[in-house]
Amino acid sequence: MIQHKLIEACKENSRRAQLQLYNKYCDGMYYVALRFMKDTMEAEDAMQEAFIKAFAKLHQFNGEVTFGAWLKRIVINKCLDKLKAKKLELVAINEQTLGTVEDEENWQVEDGVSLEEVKKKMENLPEKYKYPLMLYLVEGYDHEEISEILNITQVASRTLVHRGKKKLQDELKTLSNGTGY
Amino acid sequence: MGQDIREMFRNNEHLDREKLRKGHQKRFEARLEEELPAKKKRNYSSFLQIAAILVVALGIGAFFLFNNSDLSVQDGNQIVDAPVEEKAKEENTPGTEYRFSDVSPEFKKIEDYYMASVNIQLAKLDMTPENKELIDAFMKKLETLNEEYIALNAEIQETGVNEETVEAMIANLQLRLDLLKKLKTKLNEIKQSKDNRYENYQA
Repeated sequence: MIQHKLIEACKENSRRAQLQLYNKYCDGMYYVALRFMKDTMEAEDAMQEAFIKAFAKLHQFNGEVTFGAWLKRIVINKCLDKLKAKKLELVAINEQTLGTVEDEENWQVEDGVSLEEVKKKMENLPEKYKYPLMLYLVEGYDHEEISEILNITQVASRTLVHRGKKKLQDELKTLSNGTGY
Repeated sequence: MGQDIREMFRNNEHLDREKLRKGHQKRFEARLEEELPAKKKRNYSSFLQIAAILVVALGIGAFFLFNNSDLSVQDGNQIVDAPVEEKAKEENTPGTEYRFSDVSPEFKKIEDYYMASVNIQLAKLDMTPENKELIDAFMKKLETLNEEYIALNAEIQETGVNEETVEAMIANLQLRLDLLKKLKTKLNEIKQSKDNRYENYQA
């Protein structure tokens, strides 16, 4: 069945259509959730709750973005809600000025640093940096989207991503210093 | 230094994947059932459309039905040579079978509307020994239609609601009204030819 029709059927609360959509997207959405929740149970929970929320609010889906992208946003919001409930401190930021543009555009790390290492380090960042940075790097959102998702200003998003990146670079530097030399 | 972190993420994704735990779909279905209970109201909108069209069509139909009977009284010897010999017996036996109208209030409205129209028309028929045969034949036809109707109901129960069956049911109801209409015309004709004869007699 064509996706458009599937979505229409889901609006009518058709079980079959809902499950079809679920099966199509559950893996992808699960991985998204897993990046935030870490615990597999919690990730599944968040993913499934997001699906139900999506089905309940399907009339709000206007086709401006793909259904997958729309769903992903809901999954991420769900995850962040859950994390918040677990006392994620999403930062009261003083919107400090950034470094130079050049500084902001510098995403370099040493050669020989693996993606695994980057991810591990990112995982250990303070949460207030970690999530904006994840949204930016892993999920591929821009600052406008991040500001919407995290309910912060765009300037704050820039600041947090920037600082997170800085910290990450520092961490990775000490890593390679510690091992490389 | 040579690597751009953004590039690293862009190029390398989708590797570290864990599968969803078994039975996740079952758990999801249970959840769905709890949060968005199935209400069995599929085809709701298309259904309303059909219903709306039908009600309008019926209104017009009924209008002509009544007008027609008056008209044909006036213009006397109009000829209708349709094979109208079929006509029938009391119908509308509710039966104990599954009925779609019990499940769908919308459809019940339609069904009630037709049934009421048919019954009103039936009540208006005046039976005489002369036209008894005609009316009996008509009733037999209605009986057949009713059996078909029950079969359609059973089909819906078996295969679920689908547009074709519902349309067939509505067509069935409509056919009954059409038949009645024909019967009325026929009866009128008979009556008129009799009146004419009577008048001729007197003259």
